Amino acid sequence: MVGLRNRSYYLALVLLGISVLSIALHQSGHLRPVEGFLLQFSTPVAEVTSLLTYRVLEVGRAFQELGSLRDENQRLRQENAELRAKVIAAQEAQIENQALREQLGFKEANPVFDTLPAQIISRDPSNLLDFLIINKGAADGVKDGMVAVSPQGLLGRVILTGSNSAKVLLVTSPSSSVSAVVQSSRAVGMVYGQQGGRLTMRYIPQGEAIAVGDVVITSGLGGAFPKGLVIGKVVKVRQSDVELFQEAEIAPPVNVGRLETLALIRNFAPARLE
Amino acid sequence: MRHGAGALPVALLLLIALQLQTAAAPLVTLMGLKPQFVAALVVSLSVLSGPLAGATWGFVGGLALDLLSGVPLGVSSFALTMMGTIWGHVAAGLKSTGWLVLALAAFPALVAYDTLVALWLQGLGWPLSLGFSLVHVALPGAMLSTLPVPFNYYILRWLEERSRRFEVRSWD
Repeated sequence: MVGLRNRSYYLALVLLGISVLSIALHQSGHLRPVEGFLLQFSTPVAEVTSLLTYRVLEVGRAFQELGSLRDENQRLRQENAELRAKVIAAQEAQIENQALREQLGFKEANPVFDTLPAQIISRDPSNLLDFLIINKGAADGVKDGMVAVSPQGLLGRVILTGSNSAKVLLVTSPSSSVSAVVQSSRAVGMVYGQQGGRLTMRYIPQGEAIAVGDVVITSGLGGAFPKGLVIGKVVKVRQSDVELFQEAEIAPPVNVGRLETLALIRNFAPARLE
Repeated sequence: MRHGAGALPVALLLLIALQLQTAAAPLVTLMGLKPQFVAALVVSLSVLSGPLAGATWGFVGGLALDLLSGVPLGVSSFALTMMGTIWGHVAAGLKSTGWLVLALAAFPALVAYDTLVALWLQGLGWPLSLGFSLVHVALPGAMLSTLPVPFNYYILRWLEERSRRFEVRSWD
């Protein structure tokens, strides 16, 4: 019994030592190529299992939605008709807008984003951080720092690139911060990720107008993210007379847990301050 | 020391737990928290097979989690090895292995695991609040992760009995 106790302690000490050594090597950056290689190694398994998960979920969802399908169809037909009318109006407005821009000599920096679609093959298993692994890597032109978006808005940026996969740090991760602006009032601040997939906008100067429901977008300051991407909507404002700044809780526009694909912006190079 | 469920079935269970945690768990979150299937399996293993198995599978499972998550390589393996070893020793003193006893024994282990990871990350300079992590992540997360522990334990015990019967038969 004593022998077993000693053996288990020795083994634990060796394994803990290896873990601490790995952490030290990771911190010094020496492990980066190995991590890239191992990420590539785990990609095929993750791809197959994520595909299986999505298929199983799709079947479940299909059964769930069968009952409400007819009502949904009728509602969508009506919505479609309304949207068609709106699209025609929007096209007219676009033509008018274009003409006005040309008259003013205004030129947009990034009129259209050139995007690379990617499938999410794995998600961060911990509850403390927020990462995704996608099935596109250096072989597809993915580089560290590339910005990940969904049709609803900003998701995050690439922090580690393997040859066929990459790790994306989500804006909701506690180690993520984005320079932001409130779309309506142009109040500036910094959006920080929080544990549990929440977002907080800090350093909003007192006196700046900010209200529940306001849309928060990227400001483009700092050069890590392009300007004008939706970060989320204000759900709560915290204001105190004794504080220098206001704070707001932001709800991300998309539930990342249910997202299956994303897009990487190819024609935006993040600024590197060296 | 117990006989153990055999390396291959445990490795398969670990792979399933890992895939559940990375592919399915984010879809079944409760208050934004995911169940920690791998940690739950390591707790069950250390209770059933003792500290040696707890440390070994904790290290293997932790390394796999590190590779698939954003935490620095070594953080989860450290926390799970530690948890597997300590709970292996603690469980040796358990008089009963009813589901309630298992759940009660697993809960502090799972809180300790998340807290250890948070401590490491904070020490490495990640902007995490330890108090927030404990109250909003470790405690509710451990409640969620405790649920599969008795289930894991009974599967592992069944596998252990099967592998023992198989060995006895092969001796005949």
